[in-house]
Formats: sequence, structure tokens, C-alpha cells
Amino acid sequence: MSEELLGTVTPIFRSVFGQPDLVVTESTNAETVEGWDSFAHINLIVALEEAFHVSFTTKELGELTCVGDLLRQLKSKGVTP
Amino acid sequence: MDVKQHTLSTLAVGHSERFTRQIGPGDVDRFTELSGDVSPVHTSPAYAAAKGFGAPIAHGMLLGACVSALVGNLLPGQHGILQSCELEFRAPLIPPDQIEVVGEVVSISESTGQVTLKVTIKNGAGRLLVSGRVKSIVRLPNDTATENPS
Repeated sequence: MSEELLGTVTPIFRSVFGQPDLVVTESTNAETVEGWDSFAHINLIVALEEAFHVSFTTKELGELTCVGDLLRQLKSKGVTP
Repeated sequence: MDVKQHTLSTLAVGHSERFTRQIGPGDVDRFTELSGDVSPVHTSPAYAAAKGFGAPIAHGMLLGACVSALVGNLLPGQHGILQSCELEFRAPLIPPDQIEVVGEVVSISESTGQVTLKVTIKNGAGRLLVSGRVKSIVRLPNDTATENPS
């Protein structure tokens, strides 16, 4: 499930960060992706919200530490691969 | 112009703000000095005429600076931080002329505070000079909710 969802979100990461070959894993975080600054983070969250028609809360965003956290939050909102 | 203090709770999709401003040759001269863009199409009547314009035209980014004023003063105003700006320059502005700058909210992300605007600038005759989209972040003092994970 996580692997499949990872495959679904990877194109969004690649588009937001402008890196067509970006490899995204559950442990990926802002330290491991070039260009993942605060503005790019906002663009990523908005892109995910628009792609999956979900909304995050500021509390949820504050709890994110890596892509795995993001996947778990997406799944909790009913997002499927 | 009073600086507005919109927050996400005072904004909604469809909310719009506008202002008008007279752009004169002196504005073009000052922008030439400020930007360092001394292209003769902005500074030389003879060159502008040879290019098919009646007079030197305003720099596109002078109009872009008016979009900055829209975001910083009105929509969202004081709490806004300009994030991105995509502008298309559709027709030249030949000073003196009055422009109308309009911004309309087209989307809001409550979680990140990102507000996307559709912007247009028209001249005094109602001709569309600039269209585009602008993204800004509404962030109140001490708001750290959108810090990236690291």
C-alpha cells in the first residue's frame, strides 16, 4: 500500500521540485531533497491537496518529519494509490 | 493607499481588490534608473517610433511592480509574502496613461496559508495590458505552521 501510494505521489514531488529523476522513499525529507525549502514545501502541500482533493490542518503539517508521515496522513484521509 | 491586513478568515474565493494609478514618463525614467534597463524602447522617442510605437513604452516590470503593490498593500496586504508571479505582457503601455490593477482570489489553502490570485492590468481605454497569476503566503507574526520537515 505504502509502496503503491509512494508511486502515486512521486510524480507530484518530481514536478514540484523540478527533478524528473527524483527518487522518493518513506525516509525522504527536506534534508535529502535539494530545493526543499519552506516555499517549496508549501507548493508541495498545495499540490497534494489539489491532486487528492484533501486538506491538511496546520497541526498535521507540524507533525510531518518525512515522506512516510505524509503518506500516513494521506491514507488517513482516504487517499488510495 | 491604506495597507490592508487580510487574514485567511477575511478572504474567500472571489474576493477582489483594485486600484488605479497614473503612469507618466517620469515613472518610466525612475524605473529606468532603478532597474538599470536602459533599452531605447523605453528611453528614445526616435527608436520607439522606429519600432512602431508612438512613444517610449513603459517597462513591463514597472507594471509588475504595480502587482507587487497590489499584493503588499491590498490583497492580502500587510500579512502577505509574495511567493510567485507569472505575468503575460499582452500590450504595451505608452505613458501617460492610467492603469487599473485588479486581483481576485482564485484559491486558498487553509493549511499552508497560500493564496492564489488572478491579476489583470488594463489601461485607461480598458485594453488588457497584463494578465497573470500570483501566489502569496498569508503569514501572521510568529506563525511557523508551514515550516518544512527536516
